[in-house]
Amino acid sequence: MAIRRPHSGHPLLALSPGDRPLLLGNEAIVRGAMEADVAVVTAYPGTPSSEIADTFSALADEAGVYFEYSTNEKVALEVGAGAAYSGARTLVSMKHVGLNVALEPLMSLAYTGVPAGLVVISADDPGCHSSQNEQDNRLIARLANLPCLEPADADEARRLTKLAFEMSERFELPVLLRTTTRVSHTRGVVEIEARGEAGPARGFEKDFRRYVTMPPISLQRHGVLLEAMDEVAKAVDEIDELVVDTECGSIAVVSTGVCRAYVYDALAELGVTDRVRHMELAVTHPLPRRRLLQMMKAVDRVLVVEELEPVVEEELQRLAGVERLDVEIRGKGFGEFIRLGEYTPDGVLRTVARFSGEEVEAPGFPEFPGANGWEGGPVPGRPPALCAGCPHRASFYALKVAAGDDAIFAGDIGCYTLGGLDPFQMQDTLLCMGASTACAGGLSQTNEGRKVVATIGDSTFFHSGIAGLVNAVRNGHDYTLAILDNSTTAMTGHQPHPASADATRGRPVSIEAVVRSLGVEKVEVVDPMDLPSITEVARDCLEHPGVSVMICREPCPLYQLRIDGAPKERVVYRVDQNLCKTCGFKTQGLHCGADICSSTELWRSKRKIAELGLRVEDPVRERVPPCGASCPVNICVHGYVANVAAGDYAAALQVIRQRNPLPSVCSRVCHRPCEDACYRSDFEGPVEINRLKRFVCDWATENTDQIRPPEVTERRGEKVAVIGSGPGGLSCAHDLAMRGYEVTLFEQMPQAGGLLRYGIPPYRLPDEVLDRDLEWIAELGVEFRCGVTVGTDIGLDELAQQGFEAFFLATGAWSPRVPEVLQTGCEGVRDALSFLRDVNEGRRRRAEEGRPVVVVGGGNTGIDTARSNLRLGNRNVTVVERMPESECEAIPEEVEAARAEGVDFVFDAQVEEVVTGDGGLEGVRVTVGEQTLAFLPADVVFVATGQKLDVPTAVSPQLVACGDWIGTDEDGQTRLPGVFAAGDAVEGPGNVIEVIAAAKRAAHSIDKYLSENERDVEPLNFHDAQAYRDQARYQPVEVPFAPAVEPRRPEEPARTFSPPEATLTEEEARTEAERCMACGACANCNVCIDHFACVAIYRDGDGRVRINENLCNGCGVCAELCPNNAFERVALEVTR
Amino acid sequence: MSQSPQTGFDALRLFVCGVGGLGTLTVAHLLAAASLRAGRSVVTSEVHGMSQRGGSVQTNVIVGDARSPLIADGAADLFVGLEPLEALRYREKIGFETTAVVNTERVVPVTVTMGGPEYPDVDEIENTIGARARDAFFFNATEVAEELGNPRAANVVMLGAAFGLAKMPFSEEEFFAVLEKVFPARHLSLNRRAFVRGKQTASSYRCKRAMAAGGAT
Repeated sequence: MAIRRPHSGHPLLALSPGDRPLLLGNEAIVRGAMEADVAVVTAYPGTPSSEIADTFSALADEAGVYFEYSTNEKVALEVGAGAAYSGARTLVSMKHVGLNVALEPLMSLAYTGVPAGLVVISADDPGCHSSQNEQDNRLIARLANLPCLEPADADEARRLTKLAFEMSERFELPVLLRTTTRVSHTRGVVEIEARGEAGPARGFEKDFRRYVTMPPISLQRHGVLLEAMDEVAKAVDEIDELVVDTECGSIAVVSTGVCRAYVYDALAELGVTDRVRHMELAVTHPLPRRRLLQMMKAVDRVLVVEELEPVVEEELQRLAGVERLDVEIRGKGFGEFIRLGEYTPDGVLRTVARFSGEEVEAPGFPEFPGANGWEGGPVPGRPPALCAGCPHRASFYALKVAAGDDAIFAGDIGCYTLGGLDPFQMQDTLLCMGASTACAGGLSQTNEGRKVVATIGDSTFFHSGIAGLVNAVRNGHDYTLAILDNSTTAMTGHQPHPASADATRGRPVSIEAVVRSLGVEKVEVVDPMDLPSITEVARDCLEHPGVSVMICREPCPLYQLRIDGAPKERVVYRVDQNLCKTCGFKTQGLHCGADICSSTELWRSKRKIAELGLRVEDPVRERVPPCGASCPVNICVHGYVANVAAGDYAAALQVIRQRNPLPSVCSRVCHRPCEDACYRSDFEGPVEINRLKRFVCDWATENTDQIRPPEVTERRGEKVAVIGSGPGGLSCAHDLAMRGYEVTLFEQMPQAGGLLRYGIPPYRLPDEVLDRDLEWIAELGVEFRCGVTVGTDIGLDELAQQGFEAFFLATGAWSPRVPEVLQTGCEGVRDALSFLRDVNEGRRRRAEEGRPVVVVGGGNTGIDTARSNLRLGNRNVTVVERMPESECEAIPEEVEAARAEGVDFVFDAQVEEVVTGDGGLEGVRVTVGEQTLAFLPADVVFVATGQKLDVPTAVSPQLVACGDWIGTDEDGQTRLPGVFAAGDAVEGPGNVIEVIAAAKRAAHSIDKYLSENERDVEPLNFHDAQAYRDQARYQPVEVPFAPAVEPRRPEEPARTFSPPEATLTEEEARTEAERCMACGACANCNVCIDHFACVAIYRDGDGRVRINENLCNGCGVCAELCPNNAFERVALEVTR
Repeated sequence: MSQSPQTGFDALRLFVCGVGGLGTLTVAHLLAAASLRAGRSVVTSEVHGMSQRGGSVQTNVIVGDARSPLIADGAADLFVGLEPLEALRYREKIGFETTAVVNTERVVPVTVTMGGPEYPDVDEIENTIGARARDAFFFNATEVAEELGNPRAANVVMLGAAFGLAKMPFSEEEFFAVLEKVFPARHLSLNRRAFVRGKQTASSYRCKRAMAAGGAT
């Protein structure tokens, strides 16, 4: 509020008698105290009382008043008692719950009494606008047996303050002036009177039998108090301004506090002022007994209108009972009057109308449809939030990163209480001022193994947090206390506190000196705006056994602004829309879904600020990390790896399944181009991505209830036939089903799976693993028809007649491609794939034990054949491969495993001749390298040199083009309209993941073919390889050494077809996942909003993240945590 | 509910709501100070526990005989909404006798940004408020203020619009006199212009409305 003040003099002091300014209730109290010539004022701030202290603070020097912000309310009252004992007129101000803290001195102060006026302000908060409870302190006045005055408006607040001083001095008792939020925070016209002249304080006069509350004296002083209160009780009947009474009518309304105004207006609006008596009470303890009795004798019925407790109501009932009056007294429970919350003018109007008689009706208000006229859905709330640039937000962020969600956060009262709301949810307990330090002790003693963190503000720490910390040190509690030191009491309007530097008297108290002197061994002072440092300190403190204290020191920016004034240069941050990877980019590049990355984002941000120590100025990261870019289906690898690191395996699976329809299969057989591309492969070896995938898929088998299956958003009617159920057919069926089509999968074999089931031996890909992926595909609504050969049992034209509108051929390549030299017709020369099919169907069981075997072809089929032979009992197995080992197509680990099991390899070798004798096959002669000739004896030679299309099963010979393959265009479209193809039948034998990619492309083409409008077709979202190559490379400044988790190799070479056990435990998986350097910018990042939630950051109508420059104060913490380095610093010109 | 014909009880109730930082309290203060200058009695009540922290702010200004610092549901004579969502939130203050003036410039709350309920449609808000108010004028006061050179003067533009539409307890001269006391000299000219532009915007709205009504008959 920009109220111009005169250059000299506080406006409250500049007022003259007869002036009628508009003052806040709290300001009127100050004016009243000045008119009573108060000499000493002490206070602890707290809403709704704070403006009393703040106003005194501003005018004290000028007015010659001693004012202090005391350490807490108890101290404030005790300082006040000392001053009043010395004859100084004293005012002590606090909020209602503060009086609990000051209750101990108050109770005894009532016994000693005071020789000079002492007024205690208790600002109550019915409705809990800004408090932890709504206690009614009129009951404290009764408990302490002290007079209690209650103003209804600003001017009365002034008058009653003066009167309270008069009464206090007259009866030598402290007087309680109780306001409520509606009185303290209401402005009204105040009639100014002259400031009084109380004269100087007399000084302390010793009086042992009064001021020393030792047992016999205290009992005697209680007697003095009782006598004094008897005198007060008589006096309140005589002091005119304590009771306002209309003295007319046969029914009466008695009201207190702000309700007096509500009743006044209600009676006037209802037009019943002349027949409903209104008695307003400005004193609620003791009550004006004579006047109340007079009134009760004159009326039939009384309605008491008072908020919270039925203090007056019960006293009237007691009086009426004692006096045997025939009068009906109503209050709580009548009409809308309850003990909970504030009264409203509406409620009072309706209830008074009802009380006034049947003919009186409150003006009605028509009902509107929906939620009071609104039919537009829920109205978003606007809860308070930590300000933009608030250092507490950075502290909470760091603590969240360091402590995790399992930690228990003992909270306290101050701005940081807002850390309990989204997104932090880091105030698990909140009891009262200072409770965190002790409550954390109780939590730490009863929650073995869980971290406990207490957060407390600087002012609250001194108020009442110290005692809890002393207790924790003495009793060996184990928790971390974060003292959030923003150099001021920010919540209540930036009042100074013991450690703040802005006190005009005395010396600031050092928080760290206090904490160290208590015996806390681990004490760290840290700047919360330096996220990497504070995160490290937080981890360090959390690891420390026993109590540790981190003092997070950064001034409140609003307070700093008030001290420094507006800066010459304004720094704000802006979002570089090219770097920001929020969901706004959802349709471009990679993305892993809108709502599943929460833990990932935090983890990624944590990597940036905490572990890698990367700073804002570090080189720009790649938008698409190499792992995802090199994956043929562009799985968001870093996304699922991060989910594993964050412990969210269901989310990890969801990310994988978003791009890969056969996750379990790939986790066993993929050739892993992602790992080759991993940045870490240049250092200690790549992140073991595929083993992490296997861990996730295995986890899913054990935790089926936690899987979040993909949802088909829109079902459409068109039927598509997929022919062949290998990886291509399955993937295309999956994607078409996800695109809403009705898919039927035809398979000529008795079970689905194609090459996966019949071509890959079970020790590599067990049936149950394949079946898991098949089950997930079937769950999407895909119908499987096995044992049906399309082309023989049923033709495409027949299927078309049955309503199928498109066809996808993924019949694979099952015919062996046998080199000429092996085409001898000899019985011992066999097709490797048929052998593997037999193995898979269980037709081969140790039948050929001991015989020497040669496998020609060292691709994956060759290795599978060799290792299967070992498992059948053959000890003498040799693989002959045309290429040198480095260029061999098989997965290197497979070669290694085969060798470990005892398979011999001859690389760079050509079969020159098949040697036969009388008994049939004897072996093969091979050339190794340039000239060496060798003879390899063999009873059986398996040919694994590739396959070709099985023409008779290729449905229609007219599809065959360019030699042996089905011809298609880039989109998988064949010559026949509506017939598409992909996989081995088109491109020849390939890797599973490449076949999946081709099938996904075909599914997209089929969708386009069947959709009227191409724009409705869900895009493929395959990454643009050229754009990847063009993007700026990520240059890690320093790669922290992190060796891969050592795989557990089976000790004995495998002799069975059972698959090896899982290779990673959960703990190992998470450790391995944490090796990811997060070198790619997340495609779906939302971290600044989901986890930091600075109020200056918002999502615009176009879905992009932006910064409101009016709110941004340039603190730059967002730039530190953004994994994508998308926040840029901008210096603005300041216009004045 | 300004003057009760039966009782002669005379009160004018002005309700202002907005978001911390939009100058809601300044609007209330100007209304109160100008009314006081015009010789009327004034009570105001502010509910702003956390206004500085981006929260919702509402103030009640009651001019005349009434003592209650709060305005009952449906009882506002003038309703000034400095932000459309806040206007919707406090819609129950609006009754058949209320003149509502609402700034359509949105301040999106954190709850919406973080994936809570969506920000309601401003046209729907206008319809809802229009259905219960005697008169409801929605316009973008922030844009008007921006044209004048500072979007922060939107609150005074709104006051000008309210002055142009509703019965106010003070004159324009009295308002300007108060403006001089409240704002430092370097902001005075801007705020004067903001008030006048707001008033003009309201008069053109009145003309259009009158023409539309005329055309309909």
